[in-house]
Order: sequence, then C-alpha cells, then structure tokens
Amino acid sequence: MTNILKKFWFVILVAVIFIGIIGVFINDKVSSVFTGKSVNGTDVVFEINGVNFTADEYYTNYYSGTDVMVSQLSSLLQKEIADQSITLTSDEISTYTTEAATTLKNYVSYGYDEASIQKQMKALGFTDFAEYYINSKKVDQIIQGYINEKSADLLPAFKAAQSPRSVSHILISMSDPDNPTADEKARMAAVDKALSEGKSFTDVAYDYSEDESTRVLDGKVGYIDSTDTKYDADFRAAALKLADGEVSGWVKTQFGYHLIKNDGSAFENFKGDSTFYSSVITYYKDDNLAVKALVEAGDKLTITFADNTMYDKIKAYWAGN
Amino acid sequence: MKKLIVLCVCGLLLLSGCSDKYTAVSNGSEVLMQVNNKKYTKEDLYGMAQVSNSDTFVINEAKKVLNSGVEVTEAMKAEAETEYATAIKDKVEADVLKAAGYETKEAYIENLIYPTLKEKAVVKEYVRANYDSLASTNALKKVRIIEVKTEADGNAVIAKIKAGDSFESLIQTYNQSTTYTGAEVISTTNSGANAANILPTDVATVIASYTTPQLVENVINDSSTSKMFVIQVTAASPGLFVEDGITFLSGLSTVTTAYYEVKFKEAGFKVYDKGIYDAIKAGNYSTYLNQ
Repeated sequence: MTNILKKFWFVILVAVIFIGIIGVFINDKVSSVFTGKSVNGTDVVFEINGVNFTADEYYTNYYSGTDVMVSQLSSLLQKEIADQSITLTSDEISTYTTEAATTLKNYVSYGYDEASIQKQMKALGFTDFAEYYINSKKVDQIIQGYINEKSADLLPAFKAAQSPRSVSHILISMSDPDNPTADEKARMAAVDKALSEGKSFTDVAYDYSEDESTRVLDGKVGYIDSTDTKYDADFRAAALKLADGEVSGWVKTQFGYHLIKNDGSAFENFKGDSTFYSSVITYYKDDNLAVKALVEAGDKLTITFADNTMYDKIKAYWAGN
Repeated sequence: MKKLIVLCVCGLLLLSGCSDKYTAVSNGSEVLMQVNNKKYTKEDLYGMAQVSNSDTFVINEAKKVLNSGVEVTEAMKAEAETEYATAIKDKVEADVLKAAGYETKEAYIENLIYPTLKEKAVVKEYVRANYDSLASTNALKKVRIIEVKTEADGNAVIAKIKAGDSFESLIQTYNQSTTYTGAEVISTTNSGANAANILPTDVATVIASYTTPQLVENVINDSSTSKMFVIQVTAASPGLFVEDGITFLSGLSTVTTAYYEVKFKEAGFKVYDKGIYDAIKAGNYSTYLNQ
C-alpha cells in the first residue's frame, strides 16, 4: 500500500482534489434545487396548517367560476382561428412587429408595467405582446374579409343610415377664422385661382394645403360618415352634403377655412380603411358581425372540445363581449 | 481509477437531472380543445392559470385554509346578505353572478363574501388581543378638525373656540375639507392608512405628542399638501375608545399584513412550486414566506 501511495502520489492527489470539487458542486447543486412534494401521486402546490393544497385543487378552484374556462378557451380559440386562417406577408409581419413595439412603448410611457403586460399575454396563451398584437391584426383581417364578402348585403342600409364617403380637403390655416387677415384671404384666393385654371384638386391640395399631414397625401383625409366624431362638426356636416366628386365652397371651422371634396361613396373608395369597418360593426352591433366572421373562419377548420357544449358557450361569450 | 472516474461521471449525469420543482396537474395530457393539429391540454391551461397572478391566488387560497375553521356567525350571515344586496343593487342579479363567475347567490357569498368576512373577524380578534401595543405603535388619538384656508382663518377659529363658540358652527363657516364633516375621527401616524386617515401623516405625528385632551394652540400647516388645520384632541388615550380603535386598526392593510405574516409562519406555510415561489417572493406577499 505504501509503495502504491509513493508511486502514484500525484495521481491520488489529483483524484482527491477532483473528488473534493465534485463534492462541493454536489452540495451546492442539491441545496439550491427547489424541492417539491406530492401526496398520493398528486403534486402539492403549498402546505399550510398541515393541509396540502394540490395542483389539482389549484386547477379546479381557479377554473371554478362559470366563465373562467370559457374565457380562457375563447381567447385560445380566437388565437388559433386567426393563426390558422390568415397568412401575413413578410411586409405585414415587419410592419406589425414595428407597430407592436411602438404600442408597447406607448403603454409603458402611460405608466403601465411592461413585465405585467407580458405576463398578461402569457396568461392568454401568447408568447409575448408582439405575438398578441400580430394575432389581433389577423383577427381584423378575418372580420374585414367577412364584411368585404358580404358588402352587397350589408352596405345598402349602412349607406342610407350613415352616408359613408372618402374625402379630401385643402386647408388655409387661421388662428382667428372669424377675422381672416389680408394674407390669409390672399392664400384662399390663390387656391381658387389654381382650381379655376384647371389644376386638379389633388395637385392644388399638394401645393397649397396647410394641413401637412394630409397635404403629403394630396389632401386625402380618408373615410368619414355621419357618426364620425373625430372631425370638426362643421367639417363633417359640409362633407356629408356633397355628391360624389363635388367640391364644397369655403367651409369655416376652428382650424381655418377648408375646401372639401367628396372622393366617392362607393365601397371601393374606403375598402381597407379600419374606421369604415369599425363603423359597420357598430351599426350592425346586434348582428355581432365579428363573432359571425370568426365562426365562419372557424367552420373551415376542424375544432373539437372535450366538453361538447364548449363551442356554444364560447360563441355566446364572444357575442356578449 | 477507471471505476472511480466512471462513478464520478455517473454522479454528474445524475445531478444534471436534478432540477427545480414545477408542479403539474393530474391527467395533464387530457386534450380540452383541438384546432386542426393544435392541441390545448389541461396542463396548458394549468400553466396559464399559474402565470395569471399566481401569488395572489395562492395566498388567498392559503388564507381560506387558515380561516376555514372560523365560524360563520349569524352576524356574518346578516352582513353577507347586506353586502350581496349592495352588489346587485340596480343591476340584473344574473349578470352580477355571471361577471363574478358564479351560478348561484350561495356560491357568490361562499366564495367571495365569507372569506372576506372571516378575514375581518380573525384580524379583529388579533387587534383586540394586541390593542394596546397596536394603538401605541400607530399613535391613535381621537380628534376633531377644521381644515382652514389661511393661517389667519385658523387663528380666528382658535380664538373663537376659546371664546366659547361651538365647533359645529365654526365647521359650517370655515371648513375647507371635502371629506371631513365635523365628527370625531381617529388620527394615526400609520402612513398606509390612506382613506382611513383624514389627516396627513405629518400632522398626525404632531398630534401624537399630545397626551391630554386639548385644543392645539397653533394652526398646523402640512407642507406636503399645503393644507392647514385647527385641531382639538378629544381623546388622547386609545384606552378610551377601544371598540372604535379596534375597528379602525382592523381596517388598516398594514395591520392585516402584519397579522398574516405571523400566522403564515406559525402555520408552517411552505410552497412547493418554484414558479409560484418566485412570484410570491417578487410580489407583495414575500414576507409571508418561511423559506
């Protein structure tokens, strides 16, 4: 034995040090591992006063409320219908990813906690807020596609009730529209002259309009109807009086004076405008167009539930929310 | 030597399988919903349930266990009926139940109202048993106050009180407070009192130094709110208003938290799921943990 020790002392020394390191590692690893507990083969979540509260109880109690399971599954079903029905282009994915990041940043600037938002997304079955946002755009596309498909049936009554149209405008901006200055009047006159010389409304809007956000779009304002409250009431009233292609006289609003053009009230003029679809959905709120759109898209997929009454409950839940 | 090396490697491999415990639900692979090839199982739903405020859910479930032995008294039943009536007042009862996630009034009361009433009962007993120390720690006094607009108004009020004018008449004329109506209120230095405390904490700290009932000679100016007060200490010893003091202290979240910190430790509260443990540790209930 002594001879072996003498002969292999270095190897033995290395082995002892190696075993020591392993021992420390083992001890560190075991002491840092969070240990669990199970009772009768069921995982225990917590123990208090000698009472074990199991994972099964957690699950049962969490979903014990009437609508909790329905709510959770409805969110997942909507997610799957959207993901499996709509394929976005790479441009759309890129655009929506950027929008998602901006939207999240805005929420944070309003005081919302980003970690809480992301946690909420996971609770709904999404990886993160970006996935949730992109999925919501797919849902929008399903609903818009449904409305487009049914436009011949939906639009006549909607048009008669709300006079939808797409409009453009030329603005001469004024701080006191009740008392235009000589210069402001001269700018209005320049617009009138350009139009009378045969220049198109879009060209004149680009050259003269003082609303920069629409000027760069050749004066295009976009969709408006009789329920649209985001525009000045005088502007809206004047816009709704115009026949297709007609240009108004100078209309005074709080911003100055406008020439407004009705670019057209045909469906093709505002197809794709999200404000139009929101307005149609609101008009037909009792018909739950969004639910019908999702159900129709879902009918093209194979959907099954362990609870065979669940799909009806989800449809009712969607209709009520 | 070779055997030793093999043993060490096996040990390391074994150790690599040691990992933190995350609980799983029984029959987790049961498919609840399938859309084409995408399946959502019971385990998936359990995972989502855990992400959603698991710390609050677990603590509330633990409190239910802790308070399960608390008797539902006739007074509690009556209070539950009153609370339920308030909850459904001017609303469709079925809608209220549905929004809360319950099908019946009994389930609503059992799951939403009784746990709160039981908690109130046990906290109240705790406060009663520890009233002297809690009242002292929170510097309870009973006071009447007039919130005045200016120091000059305040001095005028003090002079008039000394001249014999009634507090009520001066409240009518001078009071600026939108919440205080003139009755005695309890003052506390507990900054977590919020709505329970009408006075700013700094003002309550000044009042805490008064040991006998008296009119505070100076107008007290709270710099944080720019509010000014004329204060009459009506009861300087909490022993003179025990029941009011108990009710007041029982409503303070810091007192409730302190109660449960002790009770959870006494009850050997222990969490066996790493994710839930981390959530509690990072959240508002970290002091409830024994681990």
